[in-house]
Amino acid sequence: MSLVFPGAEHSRFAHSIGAAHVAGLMFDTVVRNTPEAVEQDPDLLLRDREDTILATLLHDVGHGPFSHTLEEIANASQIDFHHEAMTVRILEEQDSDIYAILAEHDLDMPGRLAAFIDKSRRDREAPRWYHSIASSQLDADRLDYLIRDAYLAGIRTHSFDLTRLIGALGVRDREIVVDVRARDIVDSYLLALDHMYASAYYHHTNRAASFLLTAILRRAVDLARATDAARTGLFPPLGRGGLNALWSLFDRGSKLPLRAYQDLDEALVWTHIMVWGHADDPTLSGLVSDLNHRRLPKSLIAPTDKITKPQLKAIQHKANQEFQRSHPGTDPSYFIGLDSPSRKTYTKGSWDDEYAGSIKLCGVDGKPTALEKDPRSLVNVLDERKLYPSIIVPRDMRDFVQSLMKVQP
Amino acid sequence: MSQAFDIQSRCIDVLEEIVHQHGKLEGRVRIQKIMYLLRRSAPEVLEGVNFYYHHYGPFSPTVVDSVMGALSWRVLDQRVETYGDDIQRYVYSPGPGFAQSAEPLDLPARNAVIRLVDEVKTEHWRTLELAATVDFLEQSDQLPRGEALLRALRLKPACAEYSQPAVALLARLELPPLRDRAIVSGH
Repeated sequence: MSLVFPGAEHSRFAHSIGAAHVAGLMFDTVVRNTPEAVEQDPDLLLRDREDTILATLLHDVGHGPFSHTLEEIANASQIDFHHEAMTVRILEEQDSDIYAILAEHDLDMPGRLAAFIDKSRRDREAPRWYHSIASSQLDADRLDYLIRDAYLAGIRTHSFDLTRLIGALGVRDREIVVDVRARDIVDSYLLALDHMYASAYYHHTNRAASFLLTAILRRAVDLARATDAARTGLFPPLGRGGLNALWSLFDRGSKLPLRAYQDLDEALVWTHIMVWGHADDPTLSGLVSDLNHRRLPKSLIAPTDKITKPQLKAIQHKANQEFQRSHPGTDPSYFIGLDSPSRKTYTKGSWDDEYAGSIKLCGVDGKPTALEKDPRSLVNVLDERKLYPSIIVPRDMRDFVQSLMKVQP
Repeated sequence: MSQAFDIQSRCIDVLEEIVHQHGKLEGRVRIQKIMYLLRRSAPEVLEGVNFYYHHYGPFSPTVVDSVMGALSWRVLDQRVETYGDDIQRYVYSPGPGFAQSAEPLDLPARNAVIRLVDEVKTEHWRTLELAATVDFLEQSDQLPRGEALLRALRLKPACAEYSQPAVALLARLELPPLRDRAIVSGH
């Protein structure tokens, strides 16, 4: 993101501290607003509070460097790798430093915190309202990153009244609800989130930069899989026991040794990329050079009301042919690709899923109601928003591909 | 990134074939569970589509994205049907781009969809929800069927009266033990 928004140099660590702080505020407000609906034993209530703050602090601990990019490459290669699985391993496996700290404090704490992450461990008959502070559509994670990202990226219009939103929280029927009088703040929160997706997370240049980074890692993995010599050259033994932590992830997915995963950080990935800039393979070194010099590809939006899916694929096919004509012997898939948005601002629930996961509003009747059932809520407008895919191409092919899109094969 | 698009694109094609064979689809849970059972009965048809445990059983964000994509490409239409005061269900049917965007599935994939739809078409969505959850727990946590059923019913007490048809459906589908662990990520 910092390649597009130079101020956005913040780390996941700072975000985790911020999210934990917000989680504490949310918990305390719920207890103050609805004391009758929470744990009555003061010691147990204190334990719930501690669990909530720590689970939020640690909610992202399983993310690797360039989290979603690495996860996407691994999954596209049929490697079982998911950051949530890594978070649970870090919380519960005995050779994890974090497990040791938690278990020394309270032997049952690692298991309790894992239930914040792994929904299959939760008891549907006795849900814990505070789980959703760490993970839900209105959680401390989103409340923190939305404000933090907008501020540091310099996007001033995307804001909402955090204090008033938190002040409207309470518990009904064992789940967190928002006082219906604060519906407008929930709307402005969701609108801010929607705008951040449009203007930052799905910014066309941001997506193009992610494509380039993905292409670099994918090329290195493809070369390493082809021969042992290439693998040793591109992923040399660097860490404990002669392991290369980055290769270990691509090789073993979520089953990589925890020690290796703990060694894997952005500095290590950037070091690999820097070295790959001198690789014998011209595709790999060329891609790294493009990244180093910020020669990012172009992301061209394909309006789905004008171009059908087969037409877009045909455009990609023609672009590949044109690329191969000018770059004989080079695989175009590292340079040309299709991209589609993959996240909604808000996922509406429905009757058949019991509105599980919906944000709930609570009025004077004391009955929680899913936000999307309120016809006045903006969420029903946001749900209609069409998300367009795009085609990513080298800069010098932009005009060619744009002309194809106008012609529509 | 292109691989992600290709997976989603394939998923939209499969969804289109399911609607073609099934007729209108009522409810998002039904879509998720049919896609899960298809992934398990014919893994190659939805290669790259992985599921994890969500509020109501195995769930794939790729399937959600594909529904969004299908709506955006106008392959499917979505409308909300309301029953009484409280019941709202999403209903999916062919959209104006249905035939236009079709990229016909190859014959084995199409046959796999036809076979599965034939098995699930008349089943209640709760049956599909429970069957998919039992299988998911069997595979992700290596539980025997009886234990997986008990655990699934603890997670989904509302499915209790659908235990028998769910177990019968699983018996008919004869889902193979999982070789590709990436399909169910457990968390």
